[in-house]
Amino acid sequence: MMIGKVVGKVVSTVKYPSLVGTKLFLVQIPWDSPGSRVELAVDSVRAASEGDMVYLIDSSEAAASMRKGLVPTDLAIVGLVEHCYREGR
Amino acid sequence: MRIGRVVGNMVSVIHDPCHDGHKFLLVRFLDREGSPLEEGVFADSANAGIGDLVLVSEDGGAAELVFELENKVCVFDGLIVGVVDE
Amino acid sequence: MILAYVKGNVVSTNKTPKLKGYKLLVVEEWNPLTGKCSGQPKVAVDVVNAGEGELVFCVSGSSSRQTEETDKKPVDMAVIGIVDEVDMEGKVLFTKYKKE
Repeated sequence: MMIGKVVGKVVSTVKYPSLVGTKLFLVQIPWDSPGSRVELAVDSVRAASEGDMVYLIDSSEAAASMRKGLVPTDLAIVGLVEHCYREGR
Repeated sequence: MRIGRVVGNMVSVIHDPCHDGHKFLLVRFLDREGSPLEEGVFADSANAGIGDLVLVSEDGGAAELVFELENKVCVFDGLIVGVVDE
Repeated sequence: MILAYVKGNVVSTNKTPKLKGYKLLVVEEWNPLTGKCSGQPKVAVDVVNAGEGELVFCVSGSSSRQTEETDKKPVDMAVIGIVDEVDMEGKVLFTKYKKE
């Protein structure tokens, strides 16, 4: 899993039926280096919003986090980070 | 399995239901010379602490077995399985 | 998942039987930070009927087989949605409908 920061959102009306009702966010990974990688993630906890620090899961477990049959997603927000400590920071 | 050093921890209140009660640590992987590579967040099953050298299994199936999540949804992509002594 | 522009489509007659009947699109990853395409086109299976010139989002790896159409099929990238709008840090980076 990894920690990222929600920096934007994506609106889409035409999407795969099992994704209807889920929010899509642009997440900067890693969270502490602006201008790095920005990826698209689905919000499986339904609680994230722009500016939040979140943790994400990738590959096939992302689909499992949605808890319904076949969901085509390879990156999902699975929690909001309340507090994060890192040595030297 | 890979070797890394625990560099921090992470606390989350709103999270996936299967993460309830687990401790999450920030692990920085190391290469042969001991220089740092990328970082990841992993659940802990070996009572590791900050500064420890740990063994990380990067497999969701391993977490399923260790946390006894059979027939339940497993939203883990790996876990800390041991603390390295030497 | 990645954001990508549909650059064209692929027609293939001789292919593995498991891929028969699929619409294949040429997509190029779009980086919202720079606003540019990656210059490395990829081929993806389309499950939402996207068309050329549209901004779409694609899923790659084993997750692209997580749709009814592509389940147990030799697919490693699928187009799963058409983007209407992209907002980043308060700015609208892309919108499908021109506001007047």
